[in-house]
Amino acid sequence: MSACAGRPVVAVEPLAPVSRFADSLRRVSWFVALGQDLTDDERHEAADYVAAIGFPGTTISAVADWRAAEATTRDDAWNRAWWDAEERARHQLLDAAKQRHGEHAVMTALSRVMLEASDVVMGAASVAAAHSGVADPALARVAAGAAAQAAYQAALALAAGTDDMHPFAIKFRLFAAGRWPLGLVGNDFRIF
Amino acid sequence: MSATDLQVKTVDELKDYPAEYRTALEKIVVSHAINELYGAQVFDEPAVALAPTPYAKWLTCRVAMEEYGHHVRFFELGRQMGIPAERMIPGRTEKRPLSIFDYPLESWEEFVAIKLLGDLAEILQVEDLLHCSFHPLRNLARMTMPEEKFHAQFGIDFGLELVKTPEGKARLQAAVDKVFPVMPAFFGRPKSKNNEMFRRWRIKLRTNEDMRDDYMNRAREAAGKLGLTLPEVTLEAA
Repeated sequence: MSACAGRPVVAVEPLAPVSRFADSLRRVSWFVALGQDLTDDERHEAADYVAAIGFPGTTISAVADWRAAEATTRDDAWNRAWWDAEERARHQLLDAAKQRHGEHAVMTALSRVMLEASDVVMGAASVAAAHSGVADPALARVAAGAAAQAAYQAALALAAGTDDMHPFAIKFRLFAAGRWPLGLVGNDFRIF
Repeated sequence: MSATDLQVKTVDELKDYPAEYRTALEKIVVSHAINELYGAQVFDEPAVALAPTPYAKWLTCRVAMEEYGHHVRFFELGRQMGIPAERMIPGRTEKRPLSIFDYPLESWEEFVAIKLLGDLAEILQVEDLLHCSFHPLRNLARMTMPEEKFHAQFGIDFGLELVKTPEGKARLQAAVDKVFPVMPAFFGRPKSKNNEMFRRWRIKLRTNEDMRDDYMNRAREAAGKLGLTLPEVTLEAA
């Protein structure tokens, strides 16, 4: 803290939002609402997400159980354009974040997010699967990988200074609500 | 106390032991810290883009995180032992990563072959530390082993998917033919002075030649589960 014109001024760390986000990851209710019916709020968030990532008008569907979720993520009809759109968004955010803060600071902040996410999402996915009678270490890891990716993307959006309607911010809110957004199969956005 | 019943329970105790023992441990920790990180950077992260479905992509993401997590664990142990951070990060150290990492990853089949055969080699390396005289390193090996086994299983599981079609099997066999010849070098040279030092201090148990021979048998068995063969390689004589 320093003083200026007689008033105390708190020095603001530019990547503080990312740091706070990393701190918050242990308090997220990962995977607690899997298989439940989608609420109206969740449907709105999902519609906002697909519109923001470039697929307006996509239908929204709930997936009922872990095996159906696995089948969705292995479906040959999965929408590659959706994944590519996320990747383009990621590259744009990474460039913007590096421009704002410098590469080293951004990568350090993102590494911390990934380390914080790593253990907590794996534990949560394993517990959620076990509660549903599913003992499948690979499938739990798939869920953990998806959640960690979403945390990374949301942190990157924060580092780039975007608002809370960025698609990565919206997608993370679905994870924070205990869901696992499984992505697009054809023109259908599926959520577990 | 002779080296045969040497048991060092904490990092703090290390200062009471000869410099050669500490040097030997440092070599092992630095090597694992560098190679775990480099492996994640040159194989696992690029493989996410090559993976054929979201299932495979997210599983590969997770595997990359686990490999990175192994680096972090070895790095943290190294820092506790007083090893400078620069020595444990590729690009900042003069020590080169293993030659296997010079291999340019070009396809999903090659990544599956690397998990199948490369992570099997890693399992053998970690196995040899499970009874290490330095307990913090022994415990780290025990913590890492289940994930290493899962990574090799990843190679078998996705390999089994690929060999369901003749085209997939041919692509995976071609990847195995390309990847496998660099694997035996993972075990170091016969009659290695470093290996002799590691065994003298009960850090490792087996000679490089023993481990390499065991690996060749286990690799043949793993490939056989998929109906694949290993190419002939010329091994450096013991």
